[in-house]
Amino acid sequence: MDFEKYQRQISIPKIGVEGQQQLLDAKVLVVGAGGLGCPALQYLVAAGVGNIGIVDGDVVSKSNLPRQILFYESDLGKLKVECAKENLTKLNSSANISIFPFYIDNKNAIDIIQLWDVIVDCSDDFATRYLLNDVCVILEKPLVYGAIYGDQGQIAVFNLKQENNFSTNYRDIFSNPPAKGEVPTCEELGVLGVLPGTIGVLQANEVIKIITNLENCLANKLFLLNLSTYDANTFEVMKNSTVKYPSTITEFEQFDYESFCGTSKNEMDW
Amino acid sequence: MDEVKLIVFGKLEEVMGKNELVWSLPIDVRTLRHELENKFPTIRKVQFAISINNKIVSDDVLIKVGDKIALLPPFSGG
Repeated sequence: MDFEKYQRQISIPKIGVEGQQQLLDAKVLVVGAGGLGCPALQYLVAAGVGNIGIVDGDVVSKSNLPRQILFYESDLGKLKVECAKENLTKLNSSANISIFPFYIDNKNAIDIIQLWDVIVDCSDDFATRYLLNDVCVILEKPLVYGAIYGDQGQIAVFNLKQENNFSTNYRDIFSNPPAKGEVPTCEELGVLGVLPGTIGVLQANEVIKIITNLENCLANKLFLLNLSTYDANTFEVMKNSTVKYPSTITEFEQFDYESFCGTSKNEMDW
Repeated sequence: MDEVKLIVFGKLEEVMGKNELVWSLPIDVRTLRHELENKFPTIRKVQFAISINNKIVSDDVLIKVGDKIALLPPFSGG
């Protein structure tokens, strides 16, 4: 262990050498190397998370640069995962970084997700969010969710059992997606880089809490932050037993997430 | 008059034109949803969770005077 590098973290009594070793041993998958994923990756790699996976099929475009500050002008047109790996390696060469230069779908998700300890949802569309939620429920993987809208952000930790032995997930809050086009994207609505910057860093914070067993992680809670007013609210999430969604690998692989999120208030039927 | 306070987030803030409303006491969450849909017809298309006193609840939960209610739409941006 590089004690000099991690001295400020090891000095935190609740982390110490043991917590730093847990970070070095951890395997964290970040889905989406965009506004949320970039800052999450930078802080996770800098903190010494030893094994990092990055899933994204996109290339770096000019309009990414004001908020995806892991990327440079010289990265334009190149695959995000390759640039991310190169730039993160400059930040911390001891990180073992695996890249997946494509989008996650219900055919490749099981093989990818099962390799990792903690999954971070830094995606930007509902189909990926529902897909990631469901696969993480099936494989019992903790999922650190983050999403933004306008000047507001949401964060939660799903599938992490607490003392009372129950865990909640995205479907317990939002059982079905909104109608397609009903919630504008960042492209349509605009976004200041500091919002995903803040929310992505807070997702990294939750990942570190999970890995090092720090208390007060956002399991069974949904946290909302408004960067304009600085209003912050935490909501308790309860198990919603009436919600139906794929609960086996077979059901998951047969479920069409694109059309599920393209239709309104749909009743699921299989 | 018996009232509750509604705090509104995300897209719903734009639909309703403000982030806080005072609402006359509905019996339960389901009734509140119907009343909101009547007053703001466009929210029928918006999925949202409802919390009472910072606890996300199902539609059959009763509402009491003075409850602090939040309307929570999903965000997708990243």
